[in-house]
Amino acid sequence: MAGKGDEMKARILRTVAALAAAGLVFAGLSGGAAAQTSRLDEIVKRDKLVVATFGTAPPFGFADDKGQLVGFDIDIAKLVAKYLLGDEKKIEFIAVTSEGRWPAVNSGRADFGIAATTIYPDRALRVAFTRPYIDSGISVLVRKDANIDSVAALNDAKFTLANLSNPQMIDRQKRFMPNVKVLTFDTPSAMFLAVKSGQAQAMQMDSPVIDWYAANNGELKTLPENLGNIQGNAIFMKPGDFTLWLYLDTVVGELVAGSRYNDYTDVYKKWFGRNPPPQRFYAAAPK
Amino acid sequence: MSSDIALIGRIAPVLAEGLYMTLELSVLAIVLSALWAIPVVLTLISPRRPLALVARAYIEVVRNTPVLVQMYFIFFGSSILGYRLTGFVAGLIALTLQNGAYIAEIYRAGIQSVSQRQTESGLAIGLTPREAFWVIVFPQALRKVVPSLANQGVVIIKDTSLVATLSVAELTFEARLLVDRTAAVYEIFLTLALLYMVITGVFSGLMRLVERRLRIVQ
Repeated sequence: MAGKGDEMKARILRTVAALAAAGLVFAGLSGGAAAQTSRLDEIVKRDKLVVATFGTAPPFGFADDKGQLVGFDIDIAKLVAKYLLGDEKKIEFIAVTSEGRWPAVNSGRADFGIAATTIYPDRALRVAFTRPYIDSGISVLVRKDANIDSVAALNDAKFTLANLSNPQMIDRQKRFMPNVKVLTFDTPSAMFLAVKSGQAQAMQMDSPVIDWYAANNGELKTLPENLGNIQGNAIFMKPGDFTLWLYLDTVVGELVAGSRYNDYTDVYKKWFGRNPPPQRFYAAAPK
Repeated sequence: MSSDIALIGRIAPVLAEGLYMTLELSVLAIVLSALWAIPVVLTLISPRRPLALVARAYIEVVRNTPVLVQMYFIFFGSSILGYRLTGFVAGLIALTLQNGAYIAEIYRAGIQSVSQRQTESGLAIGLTPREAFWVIVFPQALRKVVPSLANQGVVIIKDTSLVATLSVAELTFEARLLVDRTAAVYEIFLTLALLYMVITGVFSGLMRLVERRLRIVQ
């Protein structure tokens, strides 16, 4: 009878369709899981690390007399290349400006960034930080001929402070020196040039950078107070890639307090002339 | 990439301040360049060779260095010499020096394209050479070069974005601060590009009107 036969056909068709749909879903699921590769695998496949860094922030990343990019950040990045790819030369650096460092990693141009970048909560919304690879604080560099001896003395409308374009600089200036005039630049070297040429009398920047400039320029000096707390500079990368983050965070942990502490000490002594903090608070610092 | 209308609403007032500064700088730079180019071109076409050589040398130097380098030079150099100039002034001087040279060349092309007979006719009806130049030749030269001048004006407007590096709070400067604060790179720079297009579009439109008004039916 015609009716019953059609019903059977319809049922068979429905079953086949359901099985096919289930099959597709499974294929999609497993295909999706396989497609979730980490940037870390890309780096290994490419056999080269691409890193965003500052090009004008001594001693973290800057050009030496021969025009080569050198610095503490550069050497740490080279260590990562050595551990991951076996050769510290398998690395390419992209120099970025203060606001350019975020899109450099978030757009995928660089694998990660290491650029004298301090960890702040609002930045952690946009990029993923490893634990800090070096302590930092913010110091103030001033011209000796401006006769400024403290941050309080700098809080005067007759002085000009050079800032970077990021919001933390602006907040610190408003908090500690609301009266001072401000010039805003996009690289530490432009800030330094402003102070050296007299366009500004002071600049605020990570303490190691300030110490470097003060050490290499007789007419400039560091103010005794730091602005704010002890902070940490860290490697940053596009958020969401757990595998890459875990690897880099592990490497940093081993550098500052674990199996690679000797490599870390060598780099630290090279750029700061002294030993890094000890591996444990209960262990003596190395001689 | 969540490009919000809400985001545009938040960044609009900040960019509006920058827009005012950009317009101010553009107008001043265009007017000053156009005026400065007049003595430059007169020196350039002067029959006295030493003067003409000085003008030629100035034009060559300024044309062969990037305007950003000139801005840095004036901004930091002025301070080292003890006469601190603000970023706005340093940028304006650099823009005027650079574009004054380009516009002087544009004027020269226009002047030299006016037929010699115009000058001769002027002299024939009793005008002095100076009167013949200013009354007969120069106006015709200007009329011919309006499109080139319009072009140079657009270049000036775009070049004002360079003064952001001298801490002048114009459009590009404000946009960069916003990017550092919000990380909405694409939205902000897209808006920035559109704003510049609007400014140059309006300017070009005005110059086309001017050109049409000045046209003489041959």
